[in-house]
This record gives sequence, structure tokens and C-alpha cells, in this order.
Amino acid sequence: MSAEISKELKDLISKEDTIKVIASISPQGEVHSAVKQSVTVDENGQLIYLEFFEKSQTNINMVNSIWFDKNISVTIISADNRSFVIKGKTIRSRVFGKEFEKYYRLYEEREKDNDLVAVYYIEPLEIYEQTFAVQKAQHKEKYPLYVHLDKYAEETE
Amino acid sequence: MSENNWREKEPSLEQVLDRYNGDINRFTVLKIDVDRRGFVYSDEAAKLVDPNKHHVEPSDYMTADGKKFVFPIGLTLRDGTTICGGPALTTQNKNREPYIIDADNGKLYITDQGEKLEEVEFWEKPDFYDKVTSNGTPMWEIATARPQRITITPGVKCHFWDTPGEGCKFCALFAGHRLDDGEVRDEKYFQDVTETVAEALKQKGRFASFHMTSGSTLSGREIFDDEVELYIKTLQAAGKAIHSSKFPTKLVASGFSKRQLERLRDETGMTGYVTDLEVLNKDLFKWVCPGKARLVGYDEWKHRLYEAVDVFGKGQVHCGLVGGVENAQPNGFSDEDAALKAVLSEADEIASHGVSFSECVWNTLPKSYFAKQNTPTLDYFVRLALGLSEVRKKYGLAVYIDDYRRCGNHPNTDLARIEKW
Repeated sequence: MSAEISKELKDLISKEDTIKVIASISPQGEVHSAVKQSVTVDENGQLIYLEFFEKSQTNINMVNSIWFDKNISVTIISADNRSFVIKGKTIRSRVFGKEFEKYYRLYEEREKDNDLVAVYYIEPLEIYEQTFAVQKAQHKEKYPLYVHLDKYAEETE
Repeated sequence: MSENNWREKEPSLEQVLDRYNGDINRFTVLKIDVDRRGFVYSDEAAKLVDPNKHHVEPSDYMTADGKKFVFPIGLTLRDGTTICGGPALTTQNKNREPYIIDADNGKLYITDQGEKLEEVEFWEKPDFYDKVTSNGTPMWEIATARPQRITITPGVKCHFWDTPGEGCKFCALFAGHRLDDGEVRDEKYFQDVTETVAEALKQKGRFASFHMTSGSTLSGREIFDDEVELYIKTLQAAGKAIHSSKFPTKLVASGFSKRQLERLRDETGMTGYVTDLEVLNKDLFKWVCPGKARLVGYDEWKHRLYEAVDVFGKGQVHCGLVGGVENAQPNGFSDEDAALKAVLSEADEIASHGVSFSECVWNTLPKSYFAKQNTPTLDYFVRLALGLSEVRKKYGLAVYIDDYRRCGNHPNTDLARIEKW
């Protein structure tokens, strides 16, 4: 079941000072995470990830994700330290074709040495905010008994 | 319809996927089976073909039988890998029904018995295809393409066919050209090559490799000398459009001597070499490839592969195989386990010398000597791909020249996509 990326989150993802981290699973089952600023959202609400290195661990893991139905996640961190997590399913890899070439030219214009190797399309499955203050409030409401007793101690002074 | 109840005699796609779950992905397994069984387009799918957008060939270029229907020459899967080949090449095989490429809501799917198995897309036509050289030659006559490679075939005739019965028995690639005199390859042709490659490279992001192949030319002071000369001239012509002395190149050619290989290395931008033993068994080589066996021999062809590693480096030399042809009857293996054991044992020996493998899935092409043979089970081809992959990894062989991107026709090198080296 797809999840919809809100306009607020789309705007955040498009900001240059937003940090985007992809976490993925290797064919050997190891977790790998890496900062990937080439994550965007397309007009269909899918996440797009542009990969520039054929043998990067993330590229290998993205293929592993399509081949063996392993989900990935993208963590979005704003300049003011808000954070969001998008869990997703990699549904397509384009390594050639007009759509690939559109991104290839776009990033070559930004830097001549850029050599795009793949465009990944990621269907969002689940989205949640992980900003510390928001998570703290949500956790306290949902799990009120997960707390050290001293938090309940009577003030003695 | 198939003339036998083959579905009851061999494991199905889903059974094979269950058996090797986690060892191999479903895209590669499906692709192997589509290659093995062939495919046809439904009427609805055929309506989606747009010759202005999709890469089609004007006739059946492999068997050159003069048919004028137009079909896409390849399909792309969701993982970015490709299925090569037009349906005309496979539909005459009566041993198993082909897969059907069907359409639904404007999208294409591989289907079997009415079930959608995977979405596919047609390959897009390269931009240079509609252009003409300054000599007036249509560029599609000079080069063809796969999604990420430019392909030039300077020699259209394989001269092993000159002696009756000496062509390779599985081959239909040159069967239709047995009686041709070949094309004229003069200075005008090489100028056309330079212009076509230069035009192709204007399409940014399209091509990742230059590929060249031909039929074998036996003439020259030493066997294959004239073939080598033609490749050198063609590669030099292509190189005029490229500003690097070396570039991603793969030559699929005859088994050249070390002197010939050194010429190719020293006089051109060539970086990778594939030559085809076709079947990894000395006795079967004599039967399947009689011309190669008589004029070069199995042991010498292998030796030439090893010398090629000295010239181009480990990982830059592949041995081409027609995977499964070792089971051809009556001389081939009748037991798949025995065939696999023998093939992988020989592959181990060859890989220990730094040679990788580019195996195709044997499909009984019309016009080939083996047209009426029955090919192995899907289970066999999956075990072959996994086995060759393991052999390659055992000897630390990277795949630089014949992978999913630069060729797309070899299951074991597709698997290397998630390997790190």
C-alpha cells in the first residue's frame, strides 16, 4: 500500500540544505546507509534516487532491493533538525532510455564529470516524523509506563 | 500449441524459483526462460509498436530471409536488464510454447497461460538511426545498437560455412549469409563508421560500450589475418570519433594468435576480447563446431584464450558459450547432471587462467542445423548460470566487458551486478 508524501515533506526534500540518507540491505544481509542528496520526488509522488557509481554499495543494494523484495528507507533531515523517515519499495531501475537521459543531461550540466548510472523509482510505503521532540511526545502518549520511577518521585526540596 | 506435454515433464518457472529462492533473482530466471522458450507478441501488444520511437529492425536480420515485417529487437525488464532478440527467431520451436507479450492499459507484460508475470518495455530507437552519412549511407546500415552499446559488424559472412558441413551447428546468425560475397569495406565505409559513431555519441547517456563482431574470415598469411586487419581498420575509424586512446570496447571474434591480439591492443582502442569455444568439451567441440575444430582445434583455441589474458588482462577476456548445447543429441550428454558436472569442471580449468564466461541460452534457431533439437530444462540453465558465477568468483574475475549493461545476453554476468570487486 502506497503512502502519500505531503507537500510539506516534498518541499523539505527539494531544499538544498536538507540532508537525505538512504539505508539499504546488502546481498549479504548487512545494513548500509549513505548520504544521497540526489533523492527527489517526481510528479507521481514516487521517490527518485539517482545513482552515479556502478559499484557503490548503495547501487548494489538497490538492485538487491528490486531482485529480492528488500525494502529501503530514506531519512530526511532538515536544516532545523526536523527528521522524517520514508520506508519504500524499489520498483524500477532505469539504466538507459529517454527518461534516464533527461536526468543524465541535467546532472552533467551541473558538473561535467557527473556520469549517471541508474535512476531508481521508489514507492513510499510508510512515512513518519522522527524529530526528537515529536518522537518523545508520541512515545510518552503511547507507552506511558516505559519510564524510570525517579521521573515520578515526589519533589523533596 | 506444443506437440508434447512438456509442462508435465519438467519443473515450472515457479518451482525453479522456489528451489533456488535467495540464490538467484526472479528477473534473471524469467529472462532465461523467455530466451529458452522464445516469445511472441499478441495483437494488442503489436499495436503498441511505434517505429518512430521504438528500436525495430526492418527485416529478420539474423536469418536474412527477406521477410518485411517489423518487430522490436528487444525488451527491458523493471530491473533495467534486457531481453534480446526478435520473436521471429523463436516461434518455430514446437517443443514448448513461447511466452506471450501482451498489453493491458497501454503497458506490456510477459505472460504465460494468461498470467501476467512481469512488466516489460520496448527498447527505444537510438537517435542516429534516422541519420545519413555524408556519403549518403543510412547510419542504421553501418551500426546497430543495444540500449547501452553501439554495435558494428564489418564482416557479414562466416567463412567456416564455406566448406559444407563446417559451420557451427547451433548457429543461425550467419546461416542466411552463406552465399553472400560480403560487403565492400573501402575507405568510404570506414568514413561512414567514423561519422556514425560520432553521431551516436551525441546522444548523451545512451552508450556505455563499443561492440564489434563479424563472422570468421579465414584468409591471410596466418589464419584470421584478414579478419584482424578489418577489425583494426574499423576500430581505428571508430576511434577517430573518440578522444581517448583506449575506450570501453568489446570485440567478439575468432580465436586469434598472440601476435594478432597484440596488434589489436597496440593499434586500436580495444580493451576487451571475447572468443567463443561455444561448448566446453573437446569431443563435442569437434561435432558442434567442425570448422573451428579442423582449422584451429579445441586445445589451441583454449590456449589462445589464455594468451589473450596476457595481452588484455584478467577480467578483460571472456569465453563465449552456447549454454546447454552440450546436451544436443545424439552425441551430447543425455543426463543434465552429468553435463553440468563436466561443463563446470572444464570452466574451472579455464577460469583458473583468468578467463570469464559469457554464456548464451541455447535456443534452437530456425535455419540452424540444430533447429529441431530439444533444449535443456529451465532448472539446468539456472544451475549453469549459478555454477559459472561461482567459478568466476572463485578466481576473483570481475566482469567489465560483457555485463548486464554492455551486453545483456548472459545470465551469469547479469548476476555480477550485485557483486563487488
